[in-house]
This record gives sequence, structure tokens and C-alpha cells, in this order.
Amino acid sequence: MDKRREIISKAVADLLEIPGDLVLDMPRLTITGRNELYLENHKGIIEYSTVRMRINLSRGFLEIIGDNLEIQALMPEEMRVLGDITSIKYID
Amino acid sequence: MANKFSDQVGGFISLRLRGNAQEKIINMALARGIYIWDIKRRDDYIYLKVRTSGYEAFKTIADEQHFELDVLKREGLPFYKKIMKRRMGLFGGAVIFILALYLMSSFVWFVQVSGNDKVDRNRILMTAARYGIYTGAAKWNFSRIEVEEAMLRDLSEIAYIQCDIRGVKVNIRVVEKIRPDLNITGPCHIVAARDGVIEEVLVLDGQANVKAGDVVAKGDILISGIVFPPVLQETEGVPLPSTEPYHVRARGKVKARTWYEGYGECSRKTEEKVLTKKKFNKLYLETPWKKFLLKGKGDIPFAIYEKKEKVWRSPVGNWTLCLLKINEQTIEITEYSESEAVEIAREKAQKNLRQDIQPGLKISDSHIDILSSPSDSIVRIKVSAETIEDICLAQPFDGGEISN
Repeated sequence: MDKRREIISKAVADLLEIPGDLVLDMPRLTITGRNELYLENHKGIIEYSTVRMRINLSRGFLEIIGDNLEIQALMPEEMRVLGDITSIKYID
Repeated sequence: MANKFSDQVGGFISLRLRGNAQEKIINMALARGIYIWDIKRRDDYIYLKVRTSGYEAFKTIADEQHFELDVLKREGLPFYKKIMKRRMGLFGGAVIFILALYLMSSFVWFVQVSGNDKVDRNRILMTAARYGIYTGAAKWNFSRIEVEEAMLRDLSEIAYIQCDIRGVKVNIRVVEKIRPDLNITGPCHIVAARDGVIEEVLVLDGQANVKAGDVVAKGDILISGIVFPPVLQETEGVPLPSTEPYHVRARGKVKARTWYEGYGECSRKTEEKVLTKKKFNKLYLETPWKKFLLKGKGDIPFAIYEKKEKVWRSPVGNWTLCLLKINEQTIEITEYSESEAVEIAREKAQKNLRQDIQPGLKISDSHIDILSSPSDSIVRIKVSAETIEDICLAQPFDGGEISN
């Protein structure tokens, strides 16, 4: 995404107090315990195995490390991951 | 996320995917809006589920990318539909069963009447039938409240009526009106209710016609309602009261000695038909066209038998189911000695006697006569009883009639 456009969008979002995930297409994570992860605004899967999972985001990607990882649901905008999650890391 | 119910309705397919860079195919499916879920990795394979509607598109992608795609399982209603089609008879039968049950239960099969004492049961049933409640009536053809109201209008002896519809059974509950006793208001005589010898006379109002020791027959006037004033000696200055007879409502008590008789007999040798335990049943189905024998082929194997018929009629059409119950009988001969026969005859006579006597009446004296001679084959016995009872019976009379 264009850098300048991103700055303007962020300013508008701050001014109007709109959550970033709506305007800026930023990811939104909901983690329940350590077994369930719900991710909105993803851009596809880069890598999937039972121990490591990389999910593409609008900027950079998200790395999930754990055991017995599985994708319970996959939809164009959102996904739900189950498994014993040990770490979640943002990588540029 | 879609819920499991909609998956079941639409149907879904479990797939197994094998090939390099399986993430790619998942992303492609995602981009085309194919909803996939339960993605699991086991060794080289990826297991996933896809809706039936998205399966063709998914298969195209997999084929284009040279992936190995296996269908593991098909689930959901559309696939059950195939099973249902195969077992059409079962599901059709279930539907027909439910329909038949519903149809049958919307008719009245039994009508019961309770609470009636004086009013004839058949009259109540006939009245109910006239307004729509009869065996075989469809329940949608009558309204309970309307029938109740109409029946109440028609049967004047009934104070309250309730038609309780329980499934196929209608219970008509009635409460009869209790009418006040008819009181005699006009003048009346007290007459004898039966023959007897007067024991005691107590006059409250009226003029006694009998005295103790008199023999009266049924219908004789005991206390007259026509009173003749006593003839007084004329005294000076005081005018004589009218000597014309006047009418009263006679009241009083007249006790009389009365007799009752009861007769009984017993044959010394009796032949009686007794049922054995052998039975034979025949079941017929009668249709308007033909009569079918469903059970019990062949002739009746008994010489002497008792026949009972039970008939069920269908509410619609002219179909009847007829059960013929045939029970074998044998002739049993019982012989009684004279004393036994006398005893049986006496019991019968006493039973006969008790039917006439009002309950609660004290029997002051009774004796037994043997009418038959000892050589007769039938013993005849007469039991006489003597009681003292009130034989008063009020009898209104026309005021104009004066006789003595």
C-alpha cells in the first residue's frame, strides 16, 4: 500500500475514531486461551504445516508456531486456527 | 463462519489432497470464494472439507495444478436423499402411517353417557346424534359447545350437559334436574295402598272411616277428606253452625297387618347347558362387494354350541368386521334330593318375596307351605310373611263429589 495514503488513512481513522482494522485493512487477532486463534483481514496462507504456519497480511506476515495446528475454517477475510500455539510473531 | 446446520443442509464432501505446495491451492480456492474448513495436515496429505456447491470449482483448480484429489466421504442431506430414495417404501409407509393415524383420530369412535338416572341413555345418544355426535362422526363437523347447547334445549329433564372429547372418545356427562315432589294441594282422601287388617288409626285431619280390626281392601278410603260436622243440639240465641260437609286434605297414619307371598319351585332333575372350554372363532370382513373369511375355515366342530357375534362397523362406507365366537356346550344333568330341592325352592320363594316387600320393613311372622306332593318331580313352595306397615296413600278427589 502506498505510504502516503496509509498516513492519510491513519490520520482520518484517528480523527473519526474508527478502528484501524476497518479502514486500514489491518489484521485483527482474537486468541482464546492458547488453543484457538481467530484472525480477520488476512491475505492468504504462505506456509502451512502442523508445527508452523505463515499467514500473509496487508503488510508483512504472521508466523504461528505450535503443535497439531489445523485450520478449522477458512474464508476470504477471516480464518480460525486450532492447535497448541506456542508463539505468534509479526515478520516484515 | 458458517454453522454446522447449514453444512448439513447443503451437504459437504471430505477431500484428501496430495502434491507440492498445497498452500497455493488453498489460496486459490480462497480467492475464488470457495469456502473450505477443517484443514488438517497428516504427512504428505492435506485433509479438508468443501461444500457440494464448491466441489466442482475446487476439483478444477486441483486438476489444473496437477494435484491428486481423493473424495473420502460425502455427508449431508443431499446424500441422505439417495438413501431415502432407495428406501422409499419405509419413508412412504411412515408418512402413510402418520396420515392414517391423524385421519382415524379425527373421527368419533366411542360415545359414552354417564350421569343419567331417569333419562334413557338411548334418548341422550339419539339427541346427540341429531346434533352431530355419533359413532363415526368427523370431529370437524360439529362444535362441542353448539351440541351441548342444542342438547340442553331438547332434553328438558337435564340441567347440565358436558361433551368431553378425549381423542376418539366422547363422554357425554349429564346432570339431571331434581324436581320437587308433587304436593297435593287440593282436598284428598287417604286410601289403602294394599289389603290388610287395620291395627292402628291416627287421624290428623279428616274423618276416619275405619277402626282397628277392620279388614280393608286396596283402594278403600281410610281417612275421608269429606268432613261432616257433628250435629249439635240447638241452644237458644246461638245459631246452628252449618251442617254442610266440607273438604279437607286428609292426613294421618293408618297401620295395618299385611301379607306378602312368594313362590318358588325347583325341579328334582334339571338339565342345564354348560359351556366347555372349547372355542372356535370365525372372522369375517364384509365389504360392499364381497364377504371374506379371514379366520376359521371349515364347519363348526361342535354338536351343541352357543354363538356370539361381535360386529365392528367402519364409520365410512359399508365395511364391517364380524367376529363369530362359537363356544361348545354340553348338557349337564343335576339331580337333587328332596330336602335339597325344598331348600332351593324355599330360597327362590324368599327371594321372590323380598322383591315385593319394601326394604326396611319388619317381618313379624312368616311360614312356609309346600304345595307339591312328595312324588312330584317339581317341588313348589309358597312363603307367606306378615308385616305391619303404614298403608296410607293420598288420593286427591274432585271437590264437587260428595258421597258417603
